[in-house]
Amino acid sequence: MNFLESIRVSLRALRANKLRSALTMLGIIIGVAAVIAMVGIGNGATASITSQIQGMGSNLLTISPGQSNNGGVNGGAGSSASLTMTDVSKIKIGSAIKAVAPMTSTSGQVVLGSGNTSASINGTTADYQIIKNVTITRGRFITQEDVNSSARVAVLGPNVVENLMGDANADIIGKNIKINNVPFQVIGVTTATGSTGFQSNDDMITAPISTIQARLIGNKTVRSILVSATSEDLMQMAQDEITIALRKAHKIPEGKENDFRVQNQADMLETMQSVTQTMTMLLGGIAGISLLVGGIGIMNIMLVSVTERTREIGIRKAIGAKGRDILLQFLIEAVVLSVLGGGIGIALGYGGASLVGKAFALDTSISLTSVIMAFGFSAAIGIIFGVFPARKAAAMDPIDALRFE
Amino acid sequence: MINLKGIKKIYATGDIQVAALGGVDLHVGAGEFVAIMGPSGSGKSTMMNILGCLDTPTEGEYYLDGTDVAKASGDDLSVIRNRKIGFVFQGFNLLPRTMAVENVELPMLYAGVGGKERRARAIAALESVGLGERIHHRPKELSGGQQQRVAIARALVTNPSIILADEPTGNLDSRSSEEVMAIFQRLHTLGNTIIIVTHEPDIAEFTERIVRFRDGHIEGDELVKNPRKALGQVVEEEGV
Repeated sequence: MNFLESIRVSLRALRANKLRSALTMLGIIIGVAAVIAMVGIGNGATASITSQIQGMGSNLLTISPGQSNNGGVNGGAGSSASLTMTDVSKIKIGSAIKAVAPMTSTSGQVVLGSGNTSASINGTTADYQIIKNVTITRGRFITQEDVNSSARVAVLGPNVVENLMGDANADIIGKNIKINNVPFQVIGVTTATGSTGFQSNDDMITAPISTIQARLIGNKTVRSILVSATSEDLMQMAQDEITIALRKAHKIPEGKENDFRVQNQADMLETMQSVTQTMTMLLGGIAGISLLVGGIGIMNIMLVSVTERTREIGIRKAIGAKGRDILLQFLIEAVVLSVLGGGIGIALGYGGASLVGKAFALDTSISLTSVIMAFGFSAAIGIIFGVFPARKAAAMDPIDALRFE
Repeated sequence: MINLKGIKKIYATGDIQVAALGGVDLHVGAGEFVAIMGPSGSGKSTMMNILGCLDTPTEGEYYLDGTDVAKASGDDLSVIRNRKIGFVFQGFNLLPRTMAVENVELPMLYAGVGGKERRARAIAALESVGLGERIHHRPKELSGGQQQRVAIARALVTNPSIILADEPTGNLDSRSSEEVMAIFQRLHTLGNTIIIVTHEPDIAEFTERIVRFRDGHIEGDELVKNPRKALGQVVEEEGV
């Protein structure tokens, strides 16, 4: 019997038992759909985080406190509060560095009349506006003067305004709000960026760093310093200038490690991407297990099917089927089930991923690789889990098989 | 055609050895119509399995069309069964949920006959047993007698050297039984070699030679003087 005839025989057998065929496929369908959807969503999350980081400002360098080394005990990254306002003044604006802004942040309860919300509060200087491309819809941003005089002024994100007054466009300029019971005058509202996720300006309050340090935090710490390089090509030069200036300011002898870290966007991107990639792999792995379970389901049903069709196998053998013919028939049945299931699973996974993408505003992308992999994997599952039942069928003795009731 | 020499079949159950066949010699010539009879346990089923190349003897020689098939195994036996033997079983053994014509095509499928020729030959075989009108029926939609006729069509469609029928009327009422025997008689007049295993004397009377088994040996081998003529009215009415 040739191969084409074997396929026809197998398809006829599957069609003769539609419900069982469909249920058997279900395991593979769910497994493949899960893999496709999970990997798609994971890729979407990676893309979204990448664009968020890129949207944080161009040519951005972030200086953060490094490790403290006390008597050989390494306190880990960020363990020393080594940055001060003096450090900020040591980083000179020049050919490589366009703007420098210190950052400190806290969170607090914000009250305006009966309105009440919690928000994170950034303390910074006027240059922050340049570095982060902050635009103002109404009022103005904080100035150097505000910083010098520790003015109690605040620039609000549109979401904060909405939370306080019920409307993002409400007239709030000049009103006095209370942040952790300290009164601040609202001087401006930033333009809605529409971006969500971490560090979106829409949810923040920005105020002079001096005011925040004195009134809300109570110490002179600078959590990080943001530096904008004049161009992407000069990022490395800016990074070198910063390193030299801060090593000198911190009096670090040659041969000793920095007590601060200068990170560029690429580094951050890399870190975040490795996190999301791990997540994608994790999700894909869990989905992969369900695919494996689906494969075992196929084996299970095929084994039942072989037992149930013992008589059929006996008849076929009695009238001339060779072991190979029977093997091929059952193997093809298993492969058809898994490949068909795989195909449906890919379609479902694609649909599921785009649905989730719409619901969470994620740009889910289904890569061709994951489609090919899922398809190949399900075909392989069909073969691997089909071989055992098929061999069992092929090895049957026709006399026993015919006698089977 | 068929030549058996000293056929023994011994089943070993633990330490006990049971001889189902204890040295059987038998010759069946081309075109004979033979009934193998015997009570249960006489070895006639074992004989049937060996004749049908479903099983091989422990000892002895079995020449089928001049070749010794006693030592063949596995896939070789499948090929021999496919080319030289047509089976008719007591329980019909048709594939369920499969049309009559597809059931008849089955042996040709494994013989590698092309699709068109297969279908044409299957239809011709079904017509010859009076089922030309029912080629698209499934076994469930056919009566027992009709199912057995489909099985006969399947057995004869490959032009086998012998047609082996194991209690072909065991599941049929007397009228259907006679119809089936009428078909066998007609196939016999057309020159087919037919061996029927049965325990019913009535059925054996339709054949021309009766071989009796007892305790694994041939007890008697006689020609039937006046074989009874089976009335195959249904078949004739359908114009075959």
